[in-house]
Amino acid sequence: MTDIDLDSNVPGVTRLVRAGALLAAQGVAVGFAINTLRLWSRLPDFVASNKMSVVERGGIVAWLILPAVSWSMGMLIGSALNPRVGHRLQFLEHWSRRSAWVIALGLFPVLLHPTLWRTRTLMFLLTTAMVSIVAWSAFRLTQKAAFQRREASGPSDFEQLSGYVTRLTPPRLRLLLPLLVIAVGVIYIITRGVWLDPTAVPRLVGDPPVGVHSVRQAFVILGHGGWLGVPIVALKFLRPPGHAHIFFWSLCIATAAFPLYLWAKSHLGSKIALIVASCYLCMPTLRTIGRQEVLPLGLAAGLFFLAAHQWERKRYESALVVSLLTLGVNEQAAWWFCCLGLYFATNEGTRTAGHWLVAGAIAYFVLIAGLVLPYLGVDAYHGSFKGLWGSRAVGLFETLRVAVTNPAYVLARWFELQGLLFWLVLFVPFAFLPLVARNWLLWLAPGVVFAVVGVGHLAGMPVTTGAAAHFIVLGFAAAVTTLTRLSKTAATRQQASAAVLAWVFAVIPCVYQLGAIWLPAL
Amino acid sequence: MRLRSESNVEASIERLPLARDELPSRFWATSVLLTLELLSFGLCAWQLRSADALSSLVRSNELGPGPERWGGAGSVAAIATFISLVVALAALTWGRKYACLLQTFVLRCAPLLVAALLPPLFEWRAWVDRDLSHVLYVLAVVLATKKVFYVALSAPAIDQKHCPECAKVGGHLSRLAFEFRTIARALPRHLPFFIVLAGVIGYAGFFAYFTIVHHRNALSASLDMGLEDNLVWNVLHRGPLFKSSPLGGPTASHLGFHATWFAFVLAPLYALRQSAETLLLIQAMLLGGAAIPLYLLGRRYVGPWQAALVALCYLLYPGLHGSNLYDFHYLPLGPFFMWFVVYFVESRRWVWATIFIVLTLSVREDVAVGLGFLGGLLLLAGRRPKDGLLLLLVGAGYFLVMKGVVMHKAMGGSDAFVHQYKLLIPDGDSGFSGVIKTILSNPLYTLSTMMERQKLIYFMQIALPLAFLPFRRPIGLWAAVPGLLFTLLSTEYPPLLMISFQYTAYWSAQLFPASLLNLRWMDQRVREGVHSAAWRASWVAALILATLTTSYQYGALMQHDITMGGFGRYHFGSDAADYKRRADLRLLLRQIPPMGKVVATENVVPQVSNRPDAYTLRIAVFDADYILFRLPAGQYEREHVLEAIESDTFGVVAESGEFVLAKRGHSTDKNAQFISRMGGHRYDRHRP
Repeated sequence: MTDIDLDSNVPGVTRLVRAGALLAAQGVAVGFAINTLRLWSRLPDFVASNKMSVVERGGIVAWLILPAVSWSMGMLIGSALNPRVGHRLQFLEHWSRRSAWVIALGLFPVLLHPTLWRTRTLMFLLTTAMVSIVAWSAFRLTQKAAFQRREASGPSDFEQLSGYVTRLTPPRLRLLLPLLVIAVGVIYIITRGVWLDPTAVPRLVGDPPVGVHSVRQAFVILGHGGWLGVPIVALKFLRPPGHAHIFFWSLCIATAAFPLYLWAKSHLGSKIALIVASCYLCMPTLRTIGRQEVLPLGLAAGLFFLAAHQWERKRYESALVVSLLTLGVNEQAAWWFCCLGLYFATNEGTRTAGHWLVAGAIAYFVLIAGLVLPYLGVDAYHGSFKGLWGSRAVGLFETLRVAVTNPAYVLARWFELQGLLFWLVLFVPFAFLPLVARNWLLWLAPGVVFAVVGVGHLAGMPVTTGAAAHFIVLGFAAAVTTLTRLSKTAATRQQASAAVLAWVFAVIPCVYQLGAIWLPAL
Repeated sequence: MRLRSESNVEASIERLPLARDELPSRFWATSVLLTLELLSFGLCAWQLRSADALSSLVRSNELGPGPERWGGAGSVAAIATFISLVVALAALTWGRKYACLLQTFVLRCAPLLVAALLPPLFEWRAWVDRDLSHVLYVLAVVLATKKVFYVALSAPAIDQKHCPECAKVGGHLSRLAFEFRTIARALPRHLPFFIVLAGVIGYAGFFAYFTIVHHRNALSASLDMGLEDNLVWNVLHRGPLFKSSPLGGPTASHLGFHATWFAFVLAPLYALRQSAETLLLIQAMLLGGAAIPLYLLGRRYVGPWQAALVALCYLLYPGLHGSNLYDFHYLPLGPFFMWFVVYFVESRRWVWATIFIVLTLSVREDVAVGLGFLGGLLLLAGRRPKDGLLLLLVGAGYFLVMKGVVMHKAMGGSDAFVHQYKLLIPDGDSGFSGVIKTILSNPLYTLSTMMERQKLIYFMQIALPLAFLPFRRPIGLWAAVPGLLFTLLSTEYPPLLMISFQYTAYWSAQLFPASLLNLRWMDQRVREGVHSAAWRASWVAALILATLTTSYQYGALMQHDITMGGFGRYHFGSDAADYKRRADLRLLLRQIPPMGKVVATENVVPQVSNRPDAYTLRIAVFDADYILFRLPAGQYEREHVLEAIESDTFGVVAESGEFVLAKRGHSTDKNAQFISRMGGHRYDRHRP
């Protein structure tokens, strides 16, 4: 163990107080966890009414204070007994940071209460957001303390931990195990999807599209430029309506985890990639995106991840084919490629591909949305926006014109309509990871744009709209690129593992409370 | 957690291509950026030209009559795109060597990107009753401004190797920059201080004038102008300790509510002119004057110019304006003394520090909490930590003794203001101990009481003017604790969640020093090479914009149309009705002897509170000899007046405009007329 002073410029008293406060916070977190478990069955009533006998309340306060005091005092005594005089403060400081993860752990149990959050969605999301941020900071502190006491190139705590798990796995299974885990998740989601109530699917999908005699009518039913869906509609594949649709929808949504895993693995290694793919399967917002559409945008997620993987590996032919298939699901996927192209354009080695990708994606979208769909009589970007912007704008392009010429009106109106809930539902399950991306605005831009122009959709149930698919798919792209960036150097690798752990801390409560894997969908 | 990694952005910008083989990407980036800049600038100009319709444009996307006006925006967009494409194409086709110059120029002009978003921020009509939208919009613009300034300031230098013409331009620019620095060095060393001083004098003059005029127009109130004026008058004339008759009658003491020993310091000044106006003048001077210790402190931390900037931001802070406009209070006086304490502690002037600690503690008992937290801030920031710890202990100790023992006893064993937290008091408990128990034992319940739209708006109005700079580091969380405890935790008590009340001082006292500490930390990071100077400068730009825009909308200096003071919109200056009201009131006031006991309408009490006993009609008549009331009277005031006049205890002396004076034992000849005017039933009541 090397003797690196953690922060030699800061006065000793300050360091002592900071370390003491951190230890006290850890003790309080432990006390909070104990109180949560003690009051488990009565917690909803207590939180709702704040009613409790004086004695019991005193007990709760005592359980908060006792661990804080005892933990702080214990560590203080431990450091005082350190035989190396002159290193006692360092010892205390080091261990206060090293054990910071306790704070995150202490706050975690309450998020998994089965009934407490049933009527408190906003509060749950806010609490989870706070816990995930605290967890991120705590894990980072822990890793940083460890990093400062070992060789810079050494493995992080997370890597050590995952190394132990790997050693327990038979060598032959090591390559296949992540895929097996994902496969189990996918199968579970598909089988669970079959049990969903098919009556929830609207009549458009439920009834076979009787009388589809032309491509034009098929496009009208699809509602978008999803030419990949034309044979589906034309062949009346959707009969029997409900179950078949849900099966197809679940299959496409869930299997996207495989290409995501492959893409993430090429950057982050199999362990973190497995976590990323698992987080994708657990993402609560996935269960709603476009379930009520014939060929929703969300179905393009897997193809997009695969295309991104192929573009990065410079397999241009297959990348082009997969990209075209992605665009075949929905013309709005062009904006994903536009973002990807811009991302490539800022990186060495992929700059040319990036330029072509941006130009091609924009051209495709303009062609389909501006020429083909109006020619086929598809009202994709007209009727939905009618009257939303006063007497001036009635269609997508006019709406965009207003957005360009009167940005203050658009932003202000958007802020009025979008609640906090909208953003929290989208970003809390990510532990805000997409917002840490270098060009976070770039990744969020398509979602923001479609949320702006389709502002009328979002006032009710934000996660059911097409804009949510943009946020989710590009959110994963942003998360992967962020983790890639953080994993590049030894100094920031600790941040990457802290981010992954915080993500896990956020996604587990979210999928438990909001998602469709463990509990029925809301 | 850093949500945005500036260092990485910086790295990416510094890698910006300047080699010829990367010309296509430069062409695209430059063209797009140039188009957006021209578009934004054009839209900004167009909005300024259509200023008369800007409000309806932002509120409803309507420009009023004349659809051709819309053509302006479209033309701007088309022209911007055309010009930028032509310029970029020409530069890259005929003058490839100028490409780097063009790129640098376009990057340096990046702040133009937000130009189109700025005019609506200076049109208050667009945001009336849309506070949440406004603060979120300002937040978005401030964040964008920070980013574009960062891009502009960290643009790469002109590539002079490949282009002699560019080298010539670069040389000119370098010479200009050198000359600017020379001029800046030649400026007097104390210029920043004089700028701050001018700001302080301007602030004090402005607020003293308008608050005094407001008071003379009989628009100040018994709560709290009258009761504070009466308290100081009684202190000066050796009345009972903290006697404040408007608070609750002849024996009422203010001590149970607040321990304002500072009244003894004010009394000698008050003796010069024994009127509420003196207090308003002192308040304006001390609130504005707080910029001086803030500047002195900042000069030690971040140098004179940044310190002057923060001090000026303080003078423009909308929360400060609101608290200054609402009558007179001790709480906002706290920062002046607190910041001097920190300054003297930092400069090791212990005698002065001790004097100012005593003065700070004397201001009000909860100001001691602020002092303690400031000490904690020094401790946690590693600035004179031992002294900070001492301040923390002194502040906390004084508050506990004063609030828990002295004031508790003065209130007869109960706590004042506990009703402001009533939803946090558990069954079987009373007082602040119950509140603390709830916070500790039931944090989720506490959190649920905080989830209100108004609390979000309030917090944004508090933190946004500083561009969230104090929260750049964890010390910001510590600095936010007093505000959180005293305002955001309150339940069902709206004044605590309005920036037009004095409670904003809980925040400003901590957030401004925290901002200075964070600016100092930024300087250190720049010196260590972790971040560039552009990063720090972009924060400063964001701070300036955030302060200006929020001060315009919520402050008192830039517009007087929707400024709030207390519960309602503030009436600046005087009109004909005000002058008449003043004259009417003066006529009646002349008929009241200086020591006469007066009970008056809520808004008239401050005109007569400079005497031993002045009561508010809202509570009761007490033992008053005179009733001075204003028509039409409020519900409780009307009942009390009617009771006094109907019983013939008081006789109406005179009427002047909307004011009426009645005197105990005076002839009741005119009573009947007033009783009928006020809807009383005297004769009916006496009838069997």
